Amino acid sequence: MPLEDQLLVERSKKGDREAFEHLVRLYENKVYTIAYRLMGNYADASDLAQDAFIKIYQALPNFRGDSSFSTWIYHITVNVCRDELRKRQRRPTVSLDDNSSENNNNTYEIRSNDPGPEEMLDRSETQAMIQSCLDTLSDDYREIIVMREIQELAYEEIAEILGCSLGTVKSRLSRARQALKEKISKKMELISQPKRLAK
Amino acid sequence: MQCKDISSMLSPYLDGVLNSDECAEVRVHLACCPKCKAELEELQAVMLLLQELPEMTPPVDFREKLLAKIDDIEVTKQKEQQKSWLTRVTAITRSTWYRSVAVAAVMMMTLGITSLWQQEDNSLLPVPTKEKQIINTAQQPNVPNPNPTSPNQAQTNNPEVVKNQEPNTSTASPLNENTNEPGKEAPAASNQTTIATPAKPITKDKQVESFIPKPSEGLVASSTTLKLDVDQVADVLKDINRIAQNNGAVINTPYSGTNESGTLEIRVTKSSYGTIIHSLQGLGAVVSFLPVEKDLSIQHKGAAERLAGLKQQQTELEQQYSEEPANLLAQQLEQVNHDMAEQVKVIKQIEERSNYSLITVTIM
Repeated sequence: MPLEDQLLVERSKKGDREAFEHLVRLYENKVYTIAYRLMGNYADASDLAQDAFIKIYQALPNFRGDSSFSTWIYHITVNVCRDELRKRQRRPTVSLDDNSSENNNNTYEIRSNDPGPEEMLDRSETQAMIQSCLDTLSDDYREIIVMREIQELAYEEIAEILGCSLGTVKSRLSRARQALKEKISKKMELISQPKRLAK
Repeated sequence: MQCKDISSMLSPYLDGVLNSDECAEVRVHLACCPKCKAELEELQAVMLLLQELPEMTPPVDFREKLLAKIDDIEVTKQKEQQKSWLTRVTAITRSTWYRSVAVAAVMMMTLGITSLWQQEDNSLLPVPTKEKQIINTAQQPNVPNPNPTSPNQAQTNNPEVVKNQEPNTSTASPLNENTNEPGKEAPAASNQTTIATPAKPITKDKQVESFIPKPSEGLVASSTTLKLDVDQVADVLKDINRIAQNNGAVINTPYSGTNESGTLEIRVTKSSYGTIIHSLQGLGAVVSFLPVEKDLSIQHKGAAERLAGLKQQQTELEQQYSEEPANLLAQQLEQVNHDMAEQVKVIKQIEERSNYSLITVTIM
């Protein structure tokens, strides 16, 4: 663990709020990015990244430093997102909001997997295409790809987080990459077809 | 090795996690299989694309909101700690053994003091009821009493002696407590009024007089909103009723809604809150869970301070009234007593609210 992290973690454990704020500043981009890649939209990414940091704050006194601080917090972030994805699997269609109207006390806010205008503005075409392919993968595949490619975790670390064997990590990651490659290839074909027709 | 076997090894091959034998096999195959080689290149390109995805920046107010949430958690934690301390103390004072010991102690003290009085030739024993009521109606304030509270003198029924009673003894107060039985000794009292100045009896509520507010610290109004996604609304409603009954909770607002969705409110004691929430959460997928605690301590403190102010006002007015029982003073005193009763009602409501939690359950 880098010395800076170690000092900040020790100070945060003793209740130093400034030290914790500094840790947040150091890791917020990475945590937010992981949440975004897993969830596929800004609103969820922001909510879940905050939830992850709250869990980190609460669990900090128990952090013994067996793994690096960054691995530990990314682990927590992935777990927070996994829990949310599992919850949604039970109700895959909608997420609810607490708005009320005159005739109906329960109105529903439907969050689509399609990128909204805000997302589209911020993304380059290719990045948007990759994210949309990632979004359509199964949760298990998306999760393992984010762990390996975004978090840059070793196979052993992934196995530890997922609680499975190295062999499972190898085969699942291989299948996940294949699936993503096929989705990207299909999208590329769709993009290039109109160009060919135009010629 | 066939292309199918090699295909599954390409991903670990790119990550460099294959052993040397496996690596060699893949290399040999790739050298003679353009299809697998092309697949490797495509896979490599996808990995490169993923790695090139930019790191993202959270919204500008991300950190600010996060730290505010953490502050809220800290405040709640501190309140919980304070509450748990108070709960422990309250639990002791409410426990049966503590009450038994307290009652026993009071009885011992009473017996001890009574036996002392009896040994001292009854000089401190209270005046018998009949005499006491005569004194109440006929007492004359501001007259020094050379021989106070002698039952023998009171029994003479002599107006001159009665009017010489000490004005500040409890039996001689012009203020009637509503626990007395007015009118029972009315004829005797009317006989005395020809000599003693009549004092209009002021109604005092004993419960208001003896009321002591609880400490304001830690008083909160807890309410929780729980949204559940359930399979069968009707079945879940039955389960909710069962959970409420088993845990001594009350359905505060009955279910209103349709077979698809609706809301109800449950009133639960603080002690059973945890169990009930846990049971309710098990009835379906938790869509949202929002516990809120509203601080009542400031409101309670304000009401308790107002009551203390009224109490002081009451004491002053009583003093003035005992010196000069004017109608205006009596009216003021009545008003203060009424205000005190109202204030006690407010304080009791606040204290009562902090004893339970409201859970609004929305099922859909």
